[in-house]
Amino acid sequence: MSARLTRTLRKSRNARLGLGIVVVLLVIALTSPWLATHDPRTQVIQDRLKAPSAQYWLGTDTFGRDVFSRLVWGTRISFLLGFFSTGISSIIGTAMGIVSGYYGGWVDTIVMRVVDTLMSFPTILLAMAIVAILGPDLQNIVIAIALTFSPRFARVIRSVALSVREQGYVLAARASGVRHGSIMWKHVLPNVVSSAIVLLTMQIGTAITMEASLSFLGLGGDPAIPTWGGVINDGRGFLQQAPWISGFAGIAITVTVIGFNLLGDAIRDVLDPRFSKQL
Amino acid sequence: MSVVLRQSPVPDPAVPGAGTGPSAAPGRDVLLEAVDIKKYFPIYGGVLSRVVGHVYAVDGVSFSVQRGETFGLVGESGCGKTTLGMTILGLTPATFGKVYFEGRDIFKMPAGEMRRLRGEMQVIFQDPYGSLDPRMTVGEIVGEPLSAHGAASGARRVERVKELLSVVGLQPMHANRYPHEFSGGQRQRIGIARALALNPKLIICDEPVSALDVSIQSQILNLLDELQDQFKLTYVFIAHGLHVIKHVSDRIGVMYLGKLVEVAPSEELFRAPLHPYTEALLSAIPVPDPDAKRQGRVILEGDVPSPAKPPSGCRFHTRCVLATDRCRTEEPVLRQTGAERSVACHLRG
Repeated sequence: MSARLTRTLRKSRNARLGLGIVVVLLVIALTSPWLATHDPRTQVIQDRLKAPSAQYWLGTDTFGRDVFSRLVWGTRISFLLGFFSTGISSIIGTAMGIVSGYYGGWVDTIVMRVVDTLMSFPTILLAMAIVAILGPDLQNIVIAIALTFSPRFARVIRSVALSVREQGYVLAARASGVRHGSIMWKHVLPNVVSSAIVLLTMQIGTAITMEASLSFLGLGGDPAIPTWGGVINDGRGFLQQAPWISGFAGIAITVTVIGFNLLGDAIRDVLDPRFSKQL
Repeated sequence: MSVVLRQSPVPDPAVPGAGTGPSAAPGRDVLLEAVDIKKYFPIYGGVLSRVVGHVYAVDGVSFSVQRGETFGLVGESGCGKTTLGMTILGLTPATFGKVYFEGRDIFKMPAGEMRRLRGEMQVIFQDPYGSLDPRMTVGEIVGEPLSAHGAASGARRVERVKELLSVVGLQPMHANRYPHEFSGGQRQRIGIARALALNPKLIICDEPVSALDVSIQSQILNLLDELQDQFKLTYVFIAHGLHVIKHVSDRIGVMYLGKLVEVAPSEELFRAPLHPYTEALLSAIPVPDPDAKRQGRVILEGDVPSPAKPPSGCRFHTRCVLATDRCRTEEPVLRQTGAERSVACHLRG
């Protein structure tokens, strides 16, 4: 596997780019207290809507807050949010998918109809509805994203579990009298986990976009907390006078999504070589 | 009333005679008895996915296997041999019929008891690649039945796994390796070690050598033979050609399109086959001498009919050279022709 990892990294420029972007952003997220030049919450009223300069690298917003520092802190929040929400949704979705695919029959029918119901809503509407019910704060955004994303995991993992179920070793385990739970844990899960990791990486970018969308729509909770979507929202009214506010935040989101998607492709090539040839 | 019932001693099904199968005649030590096994797979079709027909994979098969013998099951691909094997083990539910293991009806057993019984009836699979989980070490694979039944854990499990690996001709150190590091023959040995883990009484060998090279086939067959003597095993040996089954079987059942057409002791079947289909199978055995003159070969015409639409009357009549009008309309039953022989044919026996 490590041989395939090095080969993928050597051969594919996109794989190196994706890994590079994610590593750099991860470093920014981990070192934001030292990297930020200003306090992201401090309002300096006389420095409102200042263009990028030596003092304010990416300019200031309408309250005189430093956009660079807000974006640096926002990286940390976006990453935490992306990892937590996709992590939770991958656990829920993988469990649903394994149970559904392994048992089949009426269990499969029930689980998949629930999944169909959740997926028939436009994702952003469903997330908005959940946040609106639970109340706008970051924790509830994580819950909303986790709930709206888990059906996607359930779908993909179910299809993989369906094929794993037909493998001879599953039949052999049943013939040995191994319990269903144990078969799912020891045989099905290890054989679907690589697909789950690939999907997880791809979904982190989407989750970050989703958080930005919710924050932009004003469902992000405390406006003082710097999130990327919140910064875009802050600059919304000043797109002509101060395009740097929304602009740089938008660039941050775009680069992050591209980074995670490229990394996801690379991980797929390493873990799941079956798919790379088809696509 | 119910209180009285609950307090009265429940007859122990393990005691001989308490729940024995119908043909438990004295003098015959029957380990496994299958009675009129049927397995139909529904075919779904149409807009509403309604059942539009069935595949009659196994259609009324009865046989019994005595303790210590090897019962060979032979037939072309698609005749239902493997389905029959899986049904006997309770791995696919039967549509109809009963299976008695040591006199106990396994289809009526509660799930927990059935799980315990799985240790006594094991299976060796055809595909030595798909039947071993690629993400488990050999030690984990062979030890899995032990942990599933709480038979051994920790150091005792490790010891037992090593012992099993030596029994099947592998090295104890192989326990830490993964299946992909082994050849087909070695993988089949791993599968055999797993089947032996819980000291089974019966092993269903589902074409255990048909995926292997000819040179390896005889090694595995010899190993199975040695293990049978060593552990007093009973085999149901499934194969698609008679040449493999000839040397290992005491009795042979020939299957065609989901039915048994002939059952006979191995030697008698080879000396004097009764059913025309058995004759055809016998003449299909390759002869290793290229100069040998083969006379009176029976070469079958056409293909096996679809098990979804089996022919009327005798299922073999579409390919049988001897077929008469009676064969086309009336279905022959498997009837006894000798002490140990039976055949399903209007014209023979």
